[in-house]
Amino acid sequence: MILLDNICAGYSNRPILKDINLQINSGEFVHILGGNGAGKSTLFNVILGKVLPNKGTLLLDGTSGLNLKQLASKIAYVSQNTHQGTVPEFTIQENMELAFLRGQHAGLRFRSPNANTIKDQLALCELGLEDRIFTKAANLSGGQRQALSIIMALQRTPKILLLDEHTSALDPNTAKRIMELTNKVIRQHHITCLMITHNLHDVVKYGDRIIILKSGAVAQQLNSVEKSTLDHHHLIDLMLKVESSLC
Amino acid sequence: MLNIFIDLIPLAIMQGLILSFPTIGVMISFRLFNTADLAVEGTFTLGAAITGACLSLNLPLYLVFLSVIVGCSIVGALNRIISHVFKIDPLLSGIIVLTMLFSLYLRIMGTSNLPLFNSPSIFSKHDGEYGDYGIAIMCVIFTLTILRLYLKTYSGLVFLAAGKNPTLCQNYGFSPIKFGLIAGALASLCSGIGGSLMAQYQEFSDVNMGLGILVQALASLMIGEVLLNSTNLSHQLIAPVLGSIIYQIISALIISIGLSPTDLKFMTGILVLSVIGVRQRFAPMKS
Repeated sequence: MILLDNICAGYSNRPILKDINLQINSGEFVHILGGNGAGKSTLFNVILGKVLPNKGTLLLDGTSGLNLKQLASKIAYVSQNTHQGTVPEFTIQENMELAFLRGQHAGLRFRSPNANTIKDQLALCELGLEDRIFTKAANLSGGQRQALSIIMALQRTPKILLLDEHTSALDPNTAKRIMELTNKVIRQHHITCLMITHNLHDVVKYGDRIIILKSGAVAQQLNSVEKSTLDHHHLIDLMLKVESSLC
Repeated sequence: MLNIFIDLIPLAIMQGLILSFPTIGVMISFRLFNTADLAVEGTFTLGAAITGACLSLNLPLYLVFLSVIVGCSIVGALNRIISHVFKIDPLLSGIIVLTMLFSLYLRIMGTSNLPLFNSPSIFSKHDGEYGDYGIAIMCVIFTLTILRLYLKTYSGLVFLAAGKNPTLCQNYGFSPIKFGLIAGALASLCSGIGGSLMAQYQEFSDVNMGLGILVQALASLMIGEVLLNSTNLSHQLIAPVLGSIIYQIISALIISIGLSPTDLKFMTGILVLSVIGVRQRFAPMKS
C-alpha cells in the first residue's frame, strides 16, 4: 500500500506538489492523469525517493524513511525512454542478471546465470527475446527494449510498479502487446501499479481507478465504479472540464 | 635508420608493457565507466614518488607495492568524492587533484628527482629468474586477470552497469557514487602501479615523469581498440596492452627517422588525431 499524507515537494525553491493526500491499496492499478507540469513525474520521484518531500509523510507498506536498497526491493520503475530501462551495452542475459540483483547486495560472487530461467521469463512477452539472450540490448528494436525493461522491472516481483508513459514511444501494435503483458503480470502477482499515461484508450481498458492531477494537486479521483461507466469520450470531456475548471 | 629502429624495439616493448598500466587505468575510467578521469595522469607520478620514497627507506618490495596501491587508490577515490561533494565535473576535479598532487610528489620524495640506482627493485630482484620482460608480462597478466575476475562477479556487473546507465543502477538500489569511487580507485591504482614499475625500471623517480601520460595512454587505448575492433569485454581489456606496445613501437620509429625526442609530444597529438580519424572512417564510435 502507498500512503501519501499532506505531501508537499518540489525542486530547489520551486514547489510542485501541494498537499497531496492519496491512498493506493495493495494490488490496485491506478492511472495518474494530468497535463504537462501537473506534477505526475514529481509524484513518482517522491515515491522513488529521488525527491524528498518538504512536508508530509510517505508510507510504503506502512514504513517510511527507506534506504536505496529497501526502496528498490519494493518498487520497480519503467520510464518512457526505451534506453533508460536497460543497459544498451549489455546482452539481454546480462540485463536480466542485473535485474535479478534489484534491491540485493551485489557481492564478489561469480555470476552464475540460469539461461533456462531467463528464457522462460523472456518468453512471457512473446517477442522472441528468449532466442536472442546473447544479443546486446542496443541492437533490439524500441519495442523489444521496452519489453525487456518491463520484464527486468518485474524480476523479483516488486510490490509496487511505477509506469511512466512506458508505451508512448512504441508503435500501436507493440504498445498494445506490452500493455496486455503488463496488465497480465500485475494481476497475476497482485502488484500495486501506478501508471502515468496520455493514452486514454488504455485508461478506459485497464486499471481500477483514475487520479487526475492539476497544478500539483489532486483535481479529481474516480473510483472503480465510476471508472467502469466511463468511455473514451466521457474521459476526454472530464479531462477538459478539470483543466478549465481550475484555470 | 632501420638498425636504430630494430635496436629500439626491445626497449619500446618493455616501455609499452609498463605504460600499459596507465592505459588500463584510462580504459577503466573512459571506457568501462564513461568518465574522463585526469587523476590517472597524476597517480602515475604518485606511484613513482611513493616507490622512490619507500625504496630509499629500504622497505621490502611488497610494502612498496602495498603503499602504491593504497596511496593511489585513495587519491583516485578522493577525486570522485571531490567531484560528488562539490558537484563539479570529474574533469575539473581531476585538474584540481592533479595540481595538488604536484606538491604531494615533492613532499613524498623530498626532491624533484630521486635516483634509485642502489635500491633493490622488482626487476633487479628477479632478473635472473624471469628477465625484465618476464616480470613486466607477469605484472600485466596478473592485473588483467584480477580485473577480469572482478568483472565476472555480480559486483563487477553492477560496476559496468553503473558506468553505462547510472539512473537504472540507482533504480535497482545500487549507488552509482559508490561504484564511481571504485572506478576512480581502480583506475588510479593501475596507473600508480605503472608509475612504480617505471621508477623501478628506470631506477629513478621524477616529478615530471607523468607529464602527458594521459594523452599517451588515450592514444594507446585507441590504437588497441582500432586493431582489435571489438566490443567484447576481454578484447577491451587486452586493447590497452596491445595499443601501448604498438604506440611505443611507433614512437621508436619516429625517433629512428631522425626526429628529436622532444618532438614526441607533438607527434603524440598527431597520432591521437590520426587514430580518431581512422576510427571514424572505418569503425563506428562506441557508445
